[in-house]
Amino acid sequence: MTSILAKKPLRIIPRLDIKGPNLVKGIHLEGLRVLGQPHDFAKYYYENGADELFFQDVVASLYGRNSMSEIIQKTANEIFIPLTVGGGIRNIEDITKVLRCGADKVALNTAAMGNKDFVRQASEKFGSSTIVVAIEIVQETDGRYLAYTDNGREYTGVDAVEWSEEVVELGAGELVITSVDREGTGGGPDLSLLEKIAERVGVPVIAHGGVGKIDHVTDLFDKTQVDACAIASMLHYNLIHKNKVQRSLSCNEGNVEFLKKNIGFKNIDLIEINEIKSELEKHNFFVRN
Amino acid sequence: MREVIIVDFNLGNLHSVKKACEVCNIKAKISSQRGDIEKAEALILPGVGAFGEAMSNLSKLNLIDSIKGFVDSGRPLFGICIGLQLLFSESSEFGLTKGLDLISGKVEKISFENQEIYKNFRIPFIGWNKVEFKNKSTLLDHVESGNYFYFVHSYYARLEISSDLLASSMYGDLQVTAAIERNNIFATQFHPEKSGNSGLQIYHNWKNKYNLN
Repeated sequence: MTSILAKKPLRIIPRLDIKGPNLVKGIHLEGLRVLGQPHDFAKYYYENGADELFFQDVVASLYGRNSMSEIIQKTANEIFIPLTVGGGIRNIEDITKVLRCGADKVALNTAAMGNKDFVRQASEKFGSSTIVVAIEIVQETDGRYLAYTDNGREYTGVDAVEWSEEVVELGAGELVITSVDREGTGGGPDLSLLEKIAERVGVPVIAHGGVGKIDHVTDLFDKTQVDACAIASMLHYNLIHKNKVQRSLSCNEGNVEFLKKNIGFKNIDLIEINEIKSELEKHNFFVRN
Repeated sequence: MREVIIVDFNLGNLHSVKKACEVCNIKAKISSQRGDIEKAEALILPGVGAFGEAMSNLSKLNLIDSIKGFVDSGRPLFGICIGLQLLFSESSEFGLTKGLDLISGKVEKISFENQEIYKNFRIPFIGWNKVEFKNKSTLLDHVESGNYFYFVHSYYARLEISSDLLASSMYGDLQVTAAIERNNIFATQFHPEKSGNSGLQIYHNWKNKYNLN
């Protein structure tokens, strides 16, 4: 009895990286492949068990543009689960705009690092539960975990665990912890990093980066106290492999060779959300299924 | 034309509530005007955030008496999340704050009897939880007891009158008031506009029960 009750509700969150009009996927947040139209993937995930969706505009903070509005609007009109949007959000006006397009939460990273007061102002104005802070983390050769910005490109020298605690103090309602070292590799999440952060903060922690096998997900929830797992490769490649999404492409953004050649998927289990959840239930975890 | 008014008191994001109304064919307008509220066909009181700030915003906008008067007139009100909590007598969030006092009871911080077992349960709780029906209502038509709904909250409401309870859910060892109904008042702690088809069904049921628009 106790053991079942003691399992907290967990979430599976498809993560959609967006470049221009396309859904893309990279490795270590670099080398982006075009996978298709974000809306097709989002709708499929909504209809097939996603607990939330996470959209990240992967170049917005680099080029200073914000091209997500159209994609968010189109998605929000048909999708009635929480939608978090990150990438290129610099000020209160940007947050207002993104929420008006239909997002429920925004994820801040670069702008939060540049101006800590932004996190405080944003959570005061929109409520903590609307403000997610995304932290992109690289492990240094001496073992330290440091926070990076601009989609894992810019060194800050800031200790990632301390930064996690600080942004929660400033009002962040949730954290997305990305291991840049693991992201896109399918080699498994960085459990020691995730547990370090999950045990230090009181707010929900979303793990991102490295999940490539179903065992990685059960392991993640077994060995850390994180509350949710953001998944990209396993879910996206599964849909492409099963031809569940159109391969209509806008070729002006990113590398489409992958889709044209139908290259294989190294190290990645191809899987549906409800298959992941069934496996979690077998391990006595509490998920919506 | 009579309209459903989504009360805007500068807390949280109302667009998703409006969108859910649209797909359920409920003509709704977002407003913080006394006049709109007083002549509304029905009211939705949504929002996320802090109880104290919510009450102080309602007070600054001079809406407290309008909302109470509206409920007295017998027209339907639908509270969501902080909109459920505001209906209660008082909240212990940041000292003691008085609520709208339309439902007897108190809003308190989530806490567990057995803190050791539930120490990894987060506050706020953000996620999906099973909702069990405790009473009958057409507002729960075509939804099953045990279906999942999406919650975001650090506080929960404790009812004084158990017949007001429509549905509840368990978070750790805490029984959380998930939905209440008392005469023309209906409210959910979860976000039906973010709970997929089950959630949209709740909007449909509310529209049907009161023949809205």
